[in-house]
Amino acid sequence: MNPVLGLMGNIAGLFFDDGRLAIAVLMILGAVAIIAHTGLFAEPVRIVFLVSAVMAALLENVVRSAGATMAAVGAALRQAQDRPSSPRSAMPHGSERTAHTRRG
Amino acid sequence: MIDLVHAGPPMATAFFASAVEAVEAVTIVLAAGAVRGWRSSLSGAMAALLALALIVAIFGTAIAAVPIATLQTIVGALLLLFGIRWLRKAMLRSAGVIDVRDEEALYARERQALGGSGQIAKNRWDAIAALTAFKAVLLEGIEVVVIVIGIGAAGNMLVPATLGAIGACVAVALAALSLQRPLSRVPENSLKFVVGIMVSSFGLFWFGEGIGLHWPYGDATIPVLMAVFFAASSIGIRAARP
Repeated sequence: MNPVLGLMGNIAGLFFDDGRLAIAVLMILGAVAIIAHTGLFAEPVRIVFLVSAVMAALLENVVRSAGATMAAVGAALRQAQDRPSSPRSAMPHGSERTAHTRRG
Repeated sequence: MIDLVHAGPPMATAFFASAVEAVEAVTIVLAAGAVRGWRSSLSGAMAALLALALIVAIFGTAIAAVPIATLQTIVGALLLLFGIRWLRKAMLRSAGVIDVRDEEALYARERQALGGSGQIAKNRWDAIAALTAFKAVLLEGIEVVVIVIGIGAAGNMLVPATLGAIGACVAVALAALSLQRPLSRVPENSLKFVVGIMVSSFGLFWFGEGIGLHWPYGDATIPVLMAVFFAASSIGIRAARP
């Protein structure tokens, strides 16, 4: 890969680690900006919506990611039990458990 | 004279965030220096610092021309994305879903990767060591710049945020120089968890200000947002535990 493109990709990765969470947060921010611009709802309602929606997006993402990672690890372990190979070779390559050990 | 009541939170946030980034960069610079030669590794790191200074000079000047509401909206959104990314990862690590970052293991892996091509003459110029150190310092440094400019410029607290960041980088560099090994005792995940909460809270606050929301109690809302993020994260960690 072009080193400059690679570096740009790394820089973009500083903000967008998990695409779904980033999109969810941006959609919430966009919705609140539109609501604030159009004057819909009272200000306390906008504030409560902004804060609670961001928290909900974060929690949903963490719980879903945890479930997906654990499911992948469980499937890999079951696969390892079925085959007489070492468990290390059966770890899910590219899963979050391995991917996150590379960069902070 | 810096007003510590107002300058304290941005200074502390910049300090802790920069400390985490500096530890990560130092691990790679140390590995490159130990395996392939200090001259090349430190030259790469210095070149990255110069590039960062250039980025700060360009963006620092450009930011002054941006209207404050626009700046708060954009910077707030970026800080929130940035902070929430750290917080998510720290939550998954605390829950035991993903591995905690291990500087010693990373250092060993980096050493192995850099030394894999056989005998290396450490006193010669080595482009791989220089590029590795350059990339590490530049990428981690950009994160520091984003935090400092984000927290500092949007809240008119650029000086305390910069002082916090410089203090952390100098402290980490001195510690690494004296130890000549990765700073594995720094509780990186806990720091990332705290910094993720702080940066996300600042981001949410500045975004709200930028789009015209009037937070109750003004700046005092920031610690309240931190408390809300902490409570939500604690719930999230429990829910994510296998």
